[in-house]
Amino acid sequence: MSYLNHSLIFWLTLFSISVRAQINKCQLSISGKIVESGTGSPIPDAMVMIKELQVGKYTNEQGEYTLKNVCPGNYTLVIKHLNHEEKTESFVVQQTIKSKVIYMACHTDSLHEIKVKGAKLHWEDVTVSNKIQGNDLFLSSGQSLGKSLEKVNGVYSLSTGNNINKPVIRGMHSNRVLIMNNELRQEGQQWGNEHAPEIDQYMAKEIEVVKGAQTIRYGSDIIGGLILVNPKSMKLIEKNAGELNLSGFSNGRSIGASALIEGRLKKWHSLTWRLQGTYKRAGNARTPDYFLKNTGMKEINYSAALGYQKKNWDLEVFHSYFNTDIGIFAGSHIGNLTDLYNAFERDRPIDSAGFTYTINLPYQHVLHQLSKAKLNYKLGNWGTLHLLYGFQKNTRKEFDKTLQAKQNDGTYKPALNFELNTHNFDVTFEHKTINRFDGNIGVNGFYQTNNYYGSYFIPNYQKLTGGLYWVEKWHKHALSIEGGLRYDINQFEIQKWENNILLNAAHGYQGLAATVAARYQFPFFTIHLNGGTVWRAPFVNELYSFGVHHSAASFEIGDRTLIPERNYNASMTIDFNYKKKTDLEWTFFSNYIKNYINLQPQLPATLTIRGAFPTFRYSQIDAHFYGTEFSSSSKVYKSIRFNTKANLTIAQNLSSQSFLVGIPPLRIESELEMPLYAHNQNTIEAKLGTSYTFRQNRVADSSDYVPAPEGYVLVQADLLANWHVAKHPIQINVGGTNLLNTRYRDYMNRNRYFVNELGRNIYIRLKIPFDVGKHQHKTIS
Amino acid sequence: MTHTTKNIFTVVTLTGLLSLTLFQTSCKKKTTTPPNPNEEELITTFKITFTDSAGLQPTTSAMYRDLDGDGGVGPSMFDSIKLKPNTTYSASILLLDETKTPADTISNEVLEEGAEHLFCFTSPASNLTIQRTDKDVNNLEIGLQSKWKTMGSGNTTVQIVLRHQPDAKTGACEPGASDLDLTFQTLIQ
Repeated sequence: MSYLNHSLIFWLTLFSISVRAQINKCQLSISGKIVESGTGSPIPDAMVMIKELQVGKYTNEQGEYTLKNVCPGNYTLVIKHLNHEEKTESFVVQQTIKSKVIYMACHTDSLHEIKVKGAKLHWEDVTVSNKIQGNDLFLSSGQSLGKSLEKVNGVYSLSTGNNINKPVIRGMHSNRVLIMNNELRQEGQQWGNEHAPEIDQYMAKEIEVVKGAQTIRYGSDIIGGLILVNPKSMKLIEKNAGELNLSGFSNGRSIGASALIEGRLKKWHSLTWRLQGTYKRAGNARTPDYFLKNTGMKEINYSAALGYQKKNWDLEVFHSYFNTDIGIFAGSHIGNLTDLYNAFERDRPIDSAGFTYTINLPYQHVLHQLSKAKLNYKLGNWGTLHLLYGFQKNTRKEFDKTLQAKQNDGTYKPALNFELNTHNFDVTFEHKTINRFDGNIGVNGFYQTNNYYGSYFIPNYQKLTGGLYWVEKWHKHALSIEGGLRYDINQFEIQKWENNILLNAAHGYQGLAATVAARYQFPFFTIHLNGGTVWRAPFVNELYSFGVHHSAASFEIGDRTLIPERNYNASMTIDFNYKKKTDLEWTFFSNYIKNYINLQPQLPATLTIRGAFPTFRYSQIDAHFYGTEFSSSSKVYKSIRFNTKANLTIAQNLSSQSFLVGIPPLRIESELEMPLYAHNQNTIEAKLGTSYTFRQNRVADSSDYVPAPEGYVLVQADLLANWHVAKHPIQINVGGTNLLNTRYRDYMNRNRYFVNELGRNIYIRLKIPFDVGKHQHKTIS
Repeated sequence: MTHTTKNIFTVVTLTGLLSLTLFQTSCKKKTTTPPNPNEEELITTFKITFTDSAGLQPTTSAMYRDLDGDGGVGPSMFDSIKLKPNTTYSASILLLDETKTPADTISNEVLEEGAEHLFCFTSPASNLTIQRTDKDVNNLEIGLQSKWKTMGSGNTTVQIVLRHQPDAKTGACEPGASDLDLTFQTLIQ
């Protein structure tokens, strides 16, 4: 949609030039400003178009527009902007009109939001990103964040069972993927493969994925990709309203309920508020043949936010609380290698179970709290200053099945017990447009402390990081260019016991990162080019881990002499769009990483009192990740669309001329999308999709305990209704995944060693927006 | 301009105050000293003692000892089990954590939590039978005490596994996780 706007304006501008050449008598002009009705702040990049003349312009940074060479007559102005309701105004032009202010209202109702497919581009950005919002976001609600992100082409989920999902972007995850939770760098114990992001998906209004190392705005360690999870801005709240989301899934009898209520105070009009809460509960999940023992979960989250908007500044305060208990499939926790091999050989797990919501050993208990204060201040004509402070407290307790002492209260002592505190800070100055240059200059970083109270796996540490960056964007006509430079420093000190002596060690790393990107827009397609270099300091687990990983029955050893890894990357995206009929996006990427930190097998196995464990040591290699992503959507018959997606990542270990393990295989998806009913704003549409995940053949069988599982085909279907009940719009979705009840195992799920994936899962989702009170904010016009 | 400056002041003060309150609730301490791994539950030593029920043969024992736990320096002691043929022994298992002074007797805890633990003995030998003789509160065997009956001479191996089976103990070795898994050379001569 947004792309269309842009290509439309390109042609309209051309058209307007030819019109202007013919009628040179018309010398009148219309100028003015587009302003947001609630806050009075100008809206840049809104499209202002004279419908009758088919000419248009975008507003500048100050929200101003000028339409020249207009003849006297009756006209209709159409104003469009991504985040605002479309506006039309009719008027008579007899003389030049100056300072015509037009007010636009925010999108208050997500149901009427411009539908942006998962594969569409963000038009104002030079970089390429994918967004999940509107219908797509609704159609993935009730799941974990990691699962929802699989909607984006090129993103997989690294899973441990059905409840722990971590996003894998172009073959990379954990320390190499940054998640920005409401503008704060999410800091949990993200180094662990079975540590999922602690984010309530229901809180998000929009999830954006930037694949690869395209941006250095948030850090220099984003080698795999960046995920931005954003709630709706506090500035955009217009009236007292709310939303209720409900979901139910047949598999695991899982339920989810989330409520949101927000408003703007009548007396203090500058003050906006929001409260949101979520409850999720699931019991034992089921494969086509049997239940998975101890695979339930429980989640309780809430968040509260306040916004205060003045003419020159606005302030936002936010707090969120995320609390979850996740059962770990009982058969996956093993004492040693013999247990592991015994578990592999079984057809079905010996830990059999029926259905229950009860969570037993082993399980994880995670609590994540996040507080944020953000201030935006307009510095007169200079630009805007953004100040951000955040605090996050992450407590993670993992309860194992192996020998653990009981505490005084009869509960088990957690095997792993971490407390991670992070203070984030960010100061950004966004300068006003100067000679077509837009840019940001800023500093950001964090101070972090880690404490453990259970067994040793990673040490205690205090970490301080800071970065200075500068990003500039320039655009003229069809060409946009962006460049950025960043310097980072990363210092930490660790404490751990070694042979009964407390060891203190300090580490310090620093480096430069740079990115360049360009976008050129041709009549029917756009080309994006991107290149750069970023680096990542070794993380404490890579330097100091030492111990048995129970879910993998491996003995992991860190290497304290590791040095930072450095990447050199390039990518190209072609986005083709033809008359609303065909929309196609094709990306090629190459990511070379020098000193890539890799967990490599090591001989001999470690002999312990619990038996022998295969040993893995962190070491550095040179790696090359490359591949392609393709997606298309075309109208095949009337309004029936056919969508396809495919993506492939190849990861080579250049040091040993082999392939890296744990890289997602080729996946091809296709979907048929058809409207079934449309009448009086009530619509029903159906989607039928299949996905084919290939076997991962680019991995030596000997590099893993068991060979990669066979490829599989899954079928899923959805019905989506946008309905009005007593003039209230509601959204209903009924659908199912793995409809054929296929027995399969997924290469990216650690539980593939032991059990099949989930069988058929039928679900229902409901979204009910509501208004509170009758005092709606009126649009001034 | 002075108006702007004043505004900036207000705003900065506001943010400062806000951050301060947030800091107050969060910044109670930096880092604590990490718990010494030598202070947590650890089995460093396994000892099995065989007593001839008839009192004819001398009492014998076998030991596995790895004082620094998993990894690092390998086990300092990994004996063979030496038994006489045609004898019935009462075997008793002792588990110690010798990183503590005095050494912590882990086998007492296993006995206390007997309803969650089970020793499993596996041997390919035909001249040796092993039977658990102790029971937990649910009348299921534990295996801290057992009866070993030897017949003719011959060398073999015995695998001794301690299974931890919270909420899952039925008397069978599966399911569960292994807290201990040792395979002893066993000489019957």
